[in-house]
Amino acid sequence: MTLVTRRSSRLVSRVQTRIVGRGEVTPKSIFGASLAAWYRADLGITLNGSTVSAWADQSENGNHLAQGTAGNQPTYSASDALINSRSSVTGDGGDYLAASDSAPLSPSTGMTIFALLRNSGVANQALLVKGVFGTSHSWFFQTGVVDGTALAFGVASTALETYANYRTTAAGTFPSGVRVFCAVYDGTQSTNATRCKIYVDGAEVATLAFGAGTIPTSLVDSTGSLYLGSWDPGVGRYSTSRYHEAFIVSRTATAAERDVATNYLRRKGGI
Amino acid sequence: MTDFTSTKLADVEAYCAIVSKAEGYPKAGVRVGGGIHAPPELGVTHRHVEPIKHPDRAEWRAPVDAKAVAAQTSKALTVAEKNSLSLAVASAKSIDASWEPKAIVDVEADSPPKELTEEPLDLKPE
Repeated sequence: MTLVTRRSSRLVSRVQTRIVGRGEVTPKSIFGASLAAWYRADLGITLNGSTVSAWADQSENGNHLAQGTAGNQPTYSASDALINSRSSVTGDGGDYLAASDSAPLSPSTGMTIFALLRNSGVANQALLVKGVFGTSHSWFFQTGVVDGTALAFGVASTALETYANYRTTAAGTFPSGVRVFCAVYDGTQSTNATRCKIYVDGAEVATLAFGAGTIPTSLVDSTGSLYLGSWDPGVGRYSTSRYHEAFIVSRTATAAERDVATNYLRRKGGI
Repeated sequence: MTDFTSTKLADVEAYCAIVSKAEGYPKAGVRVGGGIHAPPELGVTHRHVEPIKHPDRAEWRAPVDAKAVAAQTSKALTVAEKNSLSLAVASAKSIDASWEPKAIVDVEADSPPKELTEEPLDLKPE
């Protein structure tokens, strides 16, 4: 065990050294070309008054989020007291942003989602979703179906699936406050338990309840959009959580990469 | 402050049209912060409000943020313009509107959460 710990520690150190050696640590420096989309509330915002009409992708992949209807645009705050005075993008329960499908947003056997946000505590609210429910669905990441202090992460077996094979954390694992959340999908693993994992502030949520179906070995290459703050508008489940930063990696992050990325977000969020 | 709500689609359409016109939509977005920004065309707000149909009832609404703009707009309206608004609404009421909702958005905060296992909503316009 000691040997493993030392090896793991050395690995993390090597990765950190490599990343720091390139300059500022960012998702781009950590994941390189595997960074599919990267949204920062302190960069790339386009406003319609006080609401967000576009939120640009900082990964250089052009997966820009947009919302052309004012009534569905989330609110922007340059300094949000509820998220440690960081900038934020927040929906009011009827808002969402969407980005058209692209190759970087359609990974195959691995994917990792990171988010720095303040949970609304309301159940069944979407955080990030790819595809349209029952038509071109791929995956979802949301608050618990019946408990707002839980998280649910699901992966569809087919684009037509009207439910996703999902796993959910226990109540209380998605607590109030500014947190770093990470969902990892690894289709090369052999069981539901190892294919989907969720981390909060860097710590793995050990006990995940299994929802339905079987987590598939690969992701659906969905043509549907990426939605931030809702499922597709026909389903809703609009979020009222406060986002400061979120990014999607088109492969399974290693433990060392996850550690560095989590520390990056913790620093960004002042936690 | 509550949404502008009516059982007559034409009323809400007339309301939305005037609010949108007064605000000069489509409206270009304003870039804030550094970094990469979305192309200008993605940041455009095309209309301030769209009539939104209640998912179950024969009821349409204009979202609350439109109401705020309407209140501002109201201050600038002359009596004649207000009369025009009334006439427009009255005229719209007399029309057998064949308008069909472009999108039905579930914005009901009190709607019960939908279980993950349920069937997808029927999005066909009524």
